[in-house]
Amino acid sequence: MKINKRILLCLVLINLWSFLSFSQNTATNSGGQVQTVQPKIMVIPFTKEGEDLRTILESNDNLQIVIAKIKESFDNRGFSTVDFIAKLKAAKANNVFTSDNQTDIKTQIIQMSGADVYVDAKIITPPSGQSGRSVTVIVTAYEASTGTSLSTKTGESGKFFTDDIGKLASKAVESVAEDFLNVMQTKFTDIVNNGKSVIIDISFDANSQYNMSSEIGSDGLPLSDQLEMWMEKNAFKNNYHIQGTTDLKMIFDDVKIPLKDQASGNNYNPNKFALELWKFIKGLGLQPGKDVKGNTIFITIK
Amino acid sequence: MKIIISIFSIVLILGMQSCSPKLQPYSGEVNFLYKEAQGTIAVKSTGYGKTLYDAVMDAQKNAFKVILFKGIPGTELNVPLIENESDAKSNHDSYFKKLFDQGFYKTFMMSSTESSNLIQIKGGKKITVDIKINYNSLRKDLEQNQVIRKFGY
Repeated sequence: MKINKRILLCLVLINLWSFLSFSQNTATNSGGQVQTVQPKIMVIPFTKEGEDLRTILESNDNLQIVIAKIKESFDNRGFSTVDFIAKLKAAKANNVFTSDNQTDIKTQIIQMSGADVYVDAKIITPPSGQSGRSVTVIVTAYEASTGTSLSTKTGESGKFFTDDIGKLASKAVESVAEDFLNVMQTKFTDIVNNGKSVIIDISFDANSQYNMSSEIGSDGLPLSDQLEMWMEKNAFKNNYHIQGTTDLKMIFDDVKIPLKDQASGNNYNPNKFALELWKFIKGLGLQPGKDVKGNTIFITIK
Repeated sequence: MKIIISIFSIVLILGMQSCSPKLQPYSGEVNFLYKEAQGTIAVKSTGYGKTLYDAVMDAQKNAFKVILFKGIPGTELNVPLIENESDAKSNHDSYFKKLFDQGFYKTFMMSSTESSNLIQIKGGKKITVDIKINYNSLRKDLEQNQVIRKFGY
């Protein structure tokens, strides 16, 4: 009887401890209100292979106008974007750029900014003809994690007898901005309804004694099948895609996760999903390590 | 007894029909005219009615319904402001009653000019009206009343 009382006391104390350690700070308590975390969007200039992203933007005033105009369109819809130039300056100050490869710099800025969506802007200025001058602008929005195109539009300024390329560029952006954002919004609606994409990269530590064919768990199934069965149950609306499986790697290049926790209604994110996967792998008797960069989850099994 | 059951069944069916959300058919005869300032659009809309007043009102409401629920190809409003017409109407019945039945849509109408004579057709009259709409403030109103989401998730 005394032992039972002690066990009961221990359970009460454990519960109290967990309640205190995870209870909300009164200063930040919003009374259960949940505001959806919005995607981070960054507008960047389009660069060809080998072009320097920084000098392209700094030397082209018209491209700066195009970027400013696109940002203005987002602002008009009450949406704030991540400022690319500020991020570029911060990246320079922090010596983020480690390679001369331009693709890498672009990727590094996108990763550093934590942008979920980036908008690529390109300006085409044909030489002035007898019927005047025009400017074409190509604007494309991509989901940073998967590279999926969310919206793409080509805007034309129309022909005018002017040398003010900036003004023409503004007109070209204005002609498509609204439609561009509307198409993006329909894609966002799809994300709200069907979940957002994350990439999951599962690999092994160099000294690991396991591989994807290792038979583990109580049912002795190969690890890759255990992982797929888990994904089948846990991907939002059973929506996942396997890019490929080898003995040393398994990549899920598109796994949908909900924006909101379906049980609590709180915001859900890749980190929470990574934790669930980590717990599952741990439950199989393995030693996983996890790393989350933006919408990409890296799991390394030791 | 059979007669009572029959009457009861008819009343029940009619009652159920009146309770279900209905999609009122409306004319899609709304064509893009021009765009002056950002956030506005001018359209040519056709309306039908028994009187001039009814036909003009019908044309105005049609213009708004097409912008809200169908979109106008080749314009900035290629995608409609509201993605799912039936869901929006059943979830925000009072908003649409206020918008159309109480004439609140007129607060987003910048101008309305009759561009044709009243034409006598079988069963009524027809008219074409040029209407300029401030769709930017219409969208903001839809967002504020949570009929549509703000830009983003």
